[in-house]
Amino acid sequence: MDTQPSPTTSVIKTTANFQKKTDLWWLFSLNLGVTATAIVLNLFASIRLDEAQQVWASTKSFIGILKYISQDVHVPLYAVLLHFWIQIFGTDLAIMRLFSVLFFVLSIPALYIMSRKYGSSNIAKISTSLYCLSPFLTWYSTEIRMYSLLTFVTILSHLTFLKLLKSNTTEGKLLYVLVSSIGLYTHYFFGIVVLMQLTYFILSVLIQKKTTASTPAFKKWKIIMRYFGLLTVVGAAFAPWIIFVYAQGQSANTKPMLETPTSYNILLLFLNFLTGFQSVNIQNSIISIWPLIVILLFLTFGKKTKLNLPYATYFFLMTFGPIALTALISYNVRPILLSRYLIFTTPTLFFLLAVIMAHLNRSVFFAVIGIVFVGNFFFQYQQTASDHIAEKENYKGVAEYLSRSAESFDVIAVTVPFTVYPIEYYYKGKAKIDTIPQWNRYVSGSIPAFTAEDLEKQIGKYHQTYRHMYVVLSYDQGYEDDIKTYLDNNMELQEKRNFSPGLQIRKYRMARDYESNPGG
Amino acid sequence: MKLDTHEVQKKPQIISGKMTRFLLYVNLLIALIYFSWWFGFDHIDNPWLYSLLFIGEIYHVVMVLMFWFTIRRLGRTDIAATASKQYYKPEIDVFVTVAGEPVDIVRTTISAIKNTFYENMHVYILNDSFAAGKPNWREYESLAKELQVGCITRTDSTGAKAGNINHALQMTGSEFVAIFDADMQPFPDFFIKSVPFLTDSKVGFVQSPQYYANHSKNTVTAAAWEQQGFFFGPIMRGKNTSNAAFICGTNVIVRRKTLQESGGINEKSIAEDFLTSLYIHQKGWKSVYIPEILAQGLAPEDLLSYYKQQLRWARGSVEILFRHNPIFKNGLTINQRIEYLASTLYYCNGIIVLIDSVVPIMFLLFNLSPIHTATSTFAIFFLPFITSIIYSLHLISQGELTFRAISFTQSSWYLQIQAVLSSILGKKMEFSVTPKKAQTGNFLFLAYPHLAYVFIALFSIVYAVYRDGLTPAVITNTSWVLFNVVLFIPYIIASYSWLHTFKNIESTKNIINVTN
Repeated sequence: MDTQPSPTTSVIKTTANFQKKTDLWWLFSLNLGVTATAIVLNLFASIRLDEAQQVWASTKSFIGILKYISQDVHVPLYAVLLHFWIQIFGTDLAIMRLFSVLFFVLSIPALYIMSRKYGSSNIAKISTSLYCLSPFLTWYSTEIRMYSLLTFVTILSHLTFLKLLKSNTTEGKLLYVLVSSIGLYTHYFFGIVVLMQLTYFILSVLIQKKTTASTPAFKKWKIIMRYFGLLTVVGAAFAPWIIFVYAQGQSANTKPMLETPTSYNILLLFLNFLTGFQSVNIQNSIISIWPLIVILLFLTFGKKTKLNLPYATYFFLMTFGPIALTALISYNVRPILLSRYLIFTTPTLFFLLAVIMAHLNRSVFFAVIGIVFVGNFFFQYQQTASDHIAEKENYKGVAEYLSRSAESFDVIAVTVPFTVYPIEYYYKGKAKIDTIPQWNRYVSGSIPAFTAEDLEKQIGKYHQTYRHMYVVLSYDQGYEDDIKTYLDNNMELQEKRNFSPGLQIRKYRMARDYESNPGG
Repeated sequence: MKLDTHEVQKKPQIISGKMTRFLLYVNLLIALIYFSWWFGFDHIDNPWLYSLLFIGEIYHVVMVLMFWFTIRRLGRTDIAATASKQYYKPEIDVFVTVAGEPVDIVRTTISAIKNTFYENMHVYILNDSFAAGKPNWREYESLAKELQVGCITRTDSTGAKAGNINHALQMTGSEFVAIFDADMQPFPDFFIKSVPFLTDSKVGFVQSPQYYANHSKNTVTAAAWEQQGFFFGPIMRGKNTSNAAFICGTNVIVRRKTLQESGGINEKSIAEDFLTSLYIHQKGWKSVYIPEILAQGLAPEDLLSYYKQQLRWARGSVEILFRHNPIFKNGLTINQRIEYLASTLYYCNGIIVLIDSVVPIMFLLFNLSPIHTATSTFAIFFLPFITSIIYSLHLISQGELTFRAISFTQSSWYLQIQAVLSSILGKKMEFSVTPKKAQTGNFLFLAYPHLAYVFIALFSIVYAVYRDGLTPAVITNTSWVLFNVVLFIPYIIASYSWLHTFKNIESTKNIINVTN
């Protein structure tokens, strides 16, 4: 199905003489400086919701981590590794984020090796440049989550799988099994990587070109069954976790509700990969110029040099296959399409983009790379500095405001309940923090469902006890409007503040008036 | 100068790209998924615009499916040279058709024919120059005497080139007839590679590619060759697997009996070779296409010559679609009907290009849109489709089908529409020989429709931005307009010597400075 690469020489002929252009290196270095600055600034940004949950989980005991993570519908490797990192280096936010930066840095040479081996040195330089400069990867390189580890492990998986295809050695098999097992323990979506590799393996064996010594059918199936054997070992390594999760029972329902994605979301996914998180206006404008991609395709493939990429189908499948599968599942079963879940497709995406860019003629290449560098500068700045980014969660600002404003006779009600983590991380005040619906996260089990009757009872109790209620609203799970309507109709809204897109505090005056009725 | 039998001349290779069956099926699936989007009628806004685009996309998908059909067996059933083990050298009448071409070009052609590794032939110059009113008609007779070949000068121009050949058929008698254009010089191995296929008594003709030796001379010759290279590469190779390769007017050896059964070279159509092939296939004859360059000629060297050539081919092919539709022709196999239909439909592309170019202008100027949903929905279906096509073309053409060639193809929309309209209206079009030497002059008038589009596009963009601001709809439609403009640019550039203009301006400035 794919042509085999020459073992010693690069098969991709390029015309872009990247090496000799020192001006280009200056521009690249400048952009790298911008990226490094963005990373440093991100290290000190407000903790995000997912990070707060991750930190909370990783500060538990080992079994506590496993229990929490299983109910959080995740896999435990990152949480466990973070646990030990915290033990050694402490819980300072920037220090914890450096743990993710470490995997991001490690993935750079890994991607370079992969691009060099299956492309060329020019392609390797371009792909790692795109990777380093990607605002999306900058964002997740500084998030206390498993995504940079997932990306790193995925690159290793590509290397071990392709090596396995080429030379069926015991060492290769062991490496593949090891990396695949680590991948599965890093994120459930790594299973899609394994699934795509299985698909590619089966297709490449069955569609093998006929040679003078063609493989009979039964031998082909033998090869496939041997591969299944490897996957069985991987499955066996992952089985203990599955059993443990099953034994724990239902999930804790501590994840935001996702909407069924539209075609816009799919295009936005790619845009996120390339430009990071931008304001709605910028996103809409960039997505609107999608027809110009066709010109780029014509310029790439309309060049008088054949683009010969070994394992083209594999890289294409690993980039677009997971996205297509996730979109299909999201439309037909349950919404699961999120850019961060699919971050593992970015190495092969940038590899393919690098192949295209290296194939352009000289003038077009320099125009495109110029646009990439200038664009990166702009997008990194926007992502870091702009307040209109939906992904920015200023829980730090919320907590600081509450620490200053809420008194001991006030109550803070956080909705949706799982957003209590980042608030508690920063909150230094005296007011009690509660959730709507009320949820004791120290007790195993899922968050209770919202009902209007429970809300009424809860607010009723607050009336007897507190003077003001600060309601923190974020991550609407379908009942935010119900809460706002009820509160606005039954209490006096005194203040409303927005801290970042979708994150708001509303201050209400309760029925109890301390001045007229100090005794309660 | 006769070359040694064992001397191998270095020749360019015809495109031999192919595609795996897996990729073919993937592309087919993508095309069908894309096509299904157009049946979601709930996203229609303006029904007229949508209908036009819908028709356009039916055309695109049909052409794509036909293309996959054509190339589906490449690499698996390519004709391999089946050299006859017998010593088979039948008598061949070699016709070189001339109608006013430069004598030195004809001299080179005749010399090349005489230098081929084949003796049992009679060479004739079919001299239509007198009938065409050319003043130098006697020069061909002198040339024939000089080179000791025959010369058949016609006094009556009936049937143009076809009539010229039919006239010569009556005056000659060999079992086989080889036909060359005035500029098509066969390589020494032309006959020894082509003739062996004729040992099969069912083979009616053997066709080989037209290669342009001057392909690197300028943009026009390069684009013309890239288009030809793709046609004589994957397309004709694919048609050959369905026994549907057709005569291309030159570089062909035809069995006399085949021509006689089919009524000779057809004189009624301007694409006489194409229609003749159809009649031959109707009679059940086999055709052979050799995917090897066995002769070389000249590409049109200026845009006007290119335009005339394309217009003739377009008119001829479209005429067959309307007046000799292969779908209804008895005697053709299903595969042959599909292949002939594909060739005739190709030149209807101009209408579709016009529709696709005008629709975004309609939005920018008049706020009329074919759909009311976000174009991101369309993008999800369209981008995989167009990517698969462009990538596959790149694979199959081995990188030879360039942006330039595609640009010239798309930019030929105007002449293709002309061809369709004149065919529908029944306007007669005279056969005109493609000039073999570059014509001088300004051919900017050939790009007037394209320039008009550029100006309208610019105006409409400015107007839409003024009216609506930079909304996503304005940006997307502007992108489409820019896409069309970029496609037309190589053609516009080729229509006029822009550099000459700038140099002239500089020269004029210098003169002014000196005089001041």
